[in-house]
Amino acid sequence: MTRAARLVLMMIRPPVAAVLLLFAALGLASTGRADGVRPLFTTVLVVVAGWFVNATVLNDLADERIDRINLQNARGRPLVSGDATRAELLMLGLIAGGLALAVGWTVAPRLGIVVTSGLILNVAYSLPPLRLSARGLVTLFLLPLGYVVLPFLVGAYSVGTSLGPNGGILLAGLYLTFIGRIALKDFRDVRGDGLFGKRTMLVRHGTAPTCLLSAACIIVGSSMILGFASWHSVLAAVFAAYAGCALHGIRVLARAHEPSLQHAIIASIASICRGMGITLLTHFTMTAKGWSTTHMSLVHVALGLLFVAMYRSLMIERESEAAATVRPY
Amino acid sequence: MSDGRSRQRGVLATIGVVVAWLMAIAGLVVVAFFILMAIALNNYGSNK
Repeated sequence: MTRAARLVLMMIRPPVAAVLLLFAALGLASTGRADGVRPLFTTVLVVVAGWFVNATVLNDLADERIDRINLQNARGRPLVSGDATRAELLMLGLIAGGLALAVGWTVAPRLGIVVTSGLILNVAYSLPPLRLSARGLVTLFLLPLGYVVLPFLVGAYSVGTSLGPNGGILLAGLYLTFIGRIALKDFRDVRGDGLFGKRTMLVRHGTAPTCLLSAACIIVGSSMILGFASWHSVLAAVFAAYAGCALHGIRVLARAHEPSLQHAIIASIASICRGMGITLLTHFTMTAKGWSTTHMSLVHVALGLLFVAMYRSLMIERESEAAATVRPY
Repeated sequence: MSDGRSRQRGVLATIGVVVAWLMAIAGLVVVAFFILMAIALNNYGSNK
């Protein structure tokens, strides 16, 4: 693999990029184009990846000193590991952002507007004078604009000019649920954030309020996501199980003090949140294909069992495997 | 990782791959991709 390709792979942070692509797939699904291999793996992939590489480059350039403390052994921080110079990284960020912009405006004006807004958010988030990443609660509510709203809209606007009938409420629910998930990210970075005066929610208010906010967002968000489904449906029961696992994880996290243990618990919560997204995408896809309620219910139960088992497996391993599971990108 | 836990993770990954394969056969190709991704991330252990 060439050095440039390796650098792109490092900056695209594959685990995070995969989640962004899931939100883009949900955006496509909201317009009735669930299971749309094209454009999901063509234009949508290029736009989302280009925007995200631009975001990670700007963030790495701005946070180099903090990352040297928080992420000394991370695989996806080329400035810390010496895999790239600041000039090389800046060049990559400009090319990636330019590519996303060009493809976005070529596909549709609405898409171009979304990508342009996303690139402006990248600058405002990481660089002075605004540097929104250091502003505690504000950061928490802004980050999902890039991680959830942008890929969702890129997916939806790549095939149409509006969201589907439930698109708005679905997007709001995903946004809130993601806040619940991303609020926990700061546990990983708390040491460096505190040293460099980055006033995150966790640094400013401590563990209990952060966990409480996370739990509230997951409860309200996942309820909103299911706004279109009957409360007596199998899908609702599966989502309740997912939310129960996430809340259990947050409860255990609130009582954990060892950083590596906290990281392992957060990985378990992330796993169950991915299960929510995938189950939802499956539901939309089966609905679009006209599956019967019985068949859909069977699939929901199968996925529910799979993701709850994955969560349980990660939680059981957390104590013995805590150190090994922390491989932040 | 103990043998028991390693085996449990392996069994879960196998079940997940079978579920993804069935989804792909049923025409849910994108869903199958994301299930495989979730299994990979589960075994990879990312905290993001």
